[in-house]
Amino acid sequence: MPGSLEKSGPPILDVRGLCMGIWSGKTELVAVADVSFRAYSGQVVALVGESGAGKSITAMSLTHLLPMPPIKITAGEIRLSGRDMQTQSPKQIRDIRGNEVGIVFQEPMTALNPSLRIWRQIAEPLVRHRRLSWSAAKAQAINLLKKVRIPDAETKAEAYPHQLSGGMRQRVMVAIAISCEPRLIIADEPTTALDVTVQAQILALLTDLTRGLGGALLLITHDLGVVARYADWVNVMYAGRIVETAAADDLYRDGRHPYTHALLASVPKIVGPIAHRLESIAGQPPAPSDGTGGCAFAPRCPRRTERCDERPPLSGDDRTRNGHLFACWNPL
Amino acid sequence: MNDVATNILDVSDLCVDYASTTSFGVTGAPTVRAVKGISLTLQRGETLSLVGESGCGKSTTAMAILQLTPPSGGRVVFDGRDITGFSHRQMRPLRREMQIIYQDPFGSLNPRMTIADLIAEPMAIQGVGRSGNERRAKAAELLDTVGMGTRFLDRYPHQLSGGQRQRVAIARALSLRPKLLICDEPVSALDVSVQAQVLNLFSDLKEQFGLSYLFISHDLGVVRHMSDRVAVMYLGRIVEIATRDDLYGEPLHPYTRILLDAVAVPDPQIERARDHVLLQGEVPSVATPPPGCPFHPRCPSAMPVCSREIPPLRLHGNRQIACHLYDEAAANKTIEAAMDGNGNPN
Ligand SMILES: Nc1ncnc2c1ncn2[C@@H]1O[C@H](COP(=O)(O)OP(=O)(O)O)[C@@H](O)[C@H]1O
Ligand SMILES: Nc1ncnc2c1ncn2[C@@H]1O[C@H](COP(=O)(O)OP(=O)(O)O)[C@@H](O)[C@H]1O
Ligand code: SF4
Ligand code: SF4
Ligand SMILES: [Mg+2]
Ligand SMILES: [Mg+2]
Repeated sequence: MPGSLEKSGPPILDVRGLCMGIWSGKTELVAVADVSFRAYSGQVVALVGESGAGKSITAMSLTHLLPMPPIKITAGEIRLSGRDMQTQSPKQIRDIRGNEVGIVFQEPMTALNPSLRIWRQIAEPLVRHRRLSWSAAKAQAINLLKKVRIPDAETKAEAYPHQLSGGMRQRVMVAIAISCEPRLIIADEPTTALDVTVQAQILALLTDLTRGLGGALLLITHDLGVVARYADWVNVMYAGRIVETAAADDLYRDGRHPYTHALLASVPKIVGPIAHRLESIAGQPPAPSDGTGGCAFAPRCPRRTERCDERPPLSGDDRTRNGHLFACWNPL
Repeated sequence: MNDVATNILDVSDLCVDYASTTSFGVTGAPTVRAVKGISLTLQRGETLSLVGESGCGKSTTAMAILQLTPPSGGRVVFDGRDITGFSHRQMRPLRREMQIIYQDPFGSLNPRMTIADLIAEPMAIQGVGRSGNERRAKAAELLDTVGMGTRFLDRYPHQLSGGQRQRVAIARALSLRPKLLICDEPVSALDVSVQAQVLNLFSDLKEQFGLSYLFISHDLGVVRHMSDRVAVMYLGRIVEIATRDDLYGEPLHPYTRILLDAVAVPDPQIERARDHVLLQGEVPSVATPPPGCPFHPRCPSAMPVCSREIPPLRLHGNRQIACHLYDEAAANKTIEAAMDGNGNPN
């Protein structure tokens, strides 16, 4: 993929020190802690990790889609094209969502309105944000359906969501997300429910369109193959924190965090040597806790030492380049 | 290869029809053929995988082999016995020997039963073990075998993680000492770190119990890791069947190639060096399959004959392929014309 590590201008998305708590009924648990990352124009930036790592709530927090309660932002700053998202009014947020930020979720069926024709759902943000007439918006909706390569766009425009396949519905979601030419597209597991050939089509489409618009794509996934194929920059999340962040090439070639390594080793691959046993990680990813204590990976980590009772900072060392950071006392 | 005495499973020309959904319940209604003449053999101790995109008929094949869905044609021979069309009653003694594990362990475990009872239940039904205590002891042993401590015996499924529930489902399946384990997407719901644990468990158990696996998955990485041989399915048919190394080393059927090409490898350098041929369109419905080769509307190598004639599954070297590119007569010329220097379809 023709990726880019160029930082052309200020970041489109700049997240700093983001913390989120979940109210459990008794105490507040730490769901996301001290998460910082940026996305520049033309980039695909990945958040990768296993379920429960905090990827989705991080994504939802960006455009105020968090279920509040029980989840709330407790600290940090989110800037979109320079604007502080926490000081925006609900109306301003609605103007940003769907307009400057396009969103694609895993399950198009829950995001689409089952009783509205496809074209209406694509036209809606154009009417709302761009003040197009409904007829102009309909024409534009059909253009967008062509742009996301839906065959026979005129007919499909009149269909209802349930009349389309899962892959087609996800293309419709992409059409809605790009309708107002957003600066940022957030895609949360956009292809996890789809077959691999359809997955490849949709991801190629998303990355091409984002780059075509000069925007940035925040790609959230658990799939390290997808990250390798499409991402320029990668943030590995574990237990609500970024444990390693690097340019994709650096992360895969010279990952330093034991979790990054273990995760890569545990994926069965279609190329390369076949080990009799996969390297697995003992135990399972942790649930949110009170956030005190040392390295969250310690109970599963083969490199653990006494020092790991204290939380390692996200930092680099002499060997790392290009802003590559990891949170580990005993890196590889 | 077709020696019944050495094969644990021999399936020939298996067909399965479903009532088409539009006319569901209407007698004499048209049917949809979801599985269209599948033949495969599984040797003792072997792992054969079925891969293909959703709806291609993998689960239906599994259910028909187990006679949980009645086959509408063909033959299933298990351990030397023709079990085609066996009733539930006739199958009952055989259930001990052929077990299935599903993707969603939650759906297959009764939420009101303890782990001990869940593992002991198949033994109780089959009258294995003299007493409840004996079965509980056996359940404890099995929990240990699947890498969980006996402290889980009195817990309930909702108190376990996805990986732990799948281990319980495996312990339950093993309780009757089966010869054949059919695994239908057994790790698809698990996180990769946990998936690796469960895959390792499958490998260990195979050695320990001399099991044979029919392993169903849409994940080509998982299949490569687990299999001795692999059958690729498309729209209810096998399009290529080969040893694991042959199939991944040099996929020959155009669909196999495209399927493998679509899988992203977790290595950016490899990814950049790969040529991505994006498959056009989506899988057609089994209810309205295209004429001729079912893959021809999407196939980059399609020839005129492909829209007219269904290519049969034919022996080609060590493997079987259903594709006109490998037809005897057409062979050399067409293959040369249709491939570029790298062996990729044009
Ligand atoms: N609506 C919610 N209510 C309570 N807890 C939630 C909710 N959504 C997510 N969580 C919790 O927040 C944590 C992070 O979840 P999520 O962001 O969905 O993880 P990921 O997307 O990485 O799988 C998890 O422990 C999850 O259980
Ligand atoms: N109970 C059923 N009734 C009608 N059609 C079915 C039924 N089960 C599966 N099918 C159809 O049969 C085809 C094969 O399905 P399945 O065996 O589940 O595929 P896979 O496991 O490969 O995803 C699909 O088109 C599916 O819609
Ligand atoms: S800080 Fe310690 S426990 Fe944490 S990843 Fe590094 S070595 Fe392992
Ligand atoms: S028979 Fe023809 S259409 Fe079918 S896979 Fe072979 S070349 Fe393609
Ligand atoms: Mg998520
Ligand atoms: Mg299935």
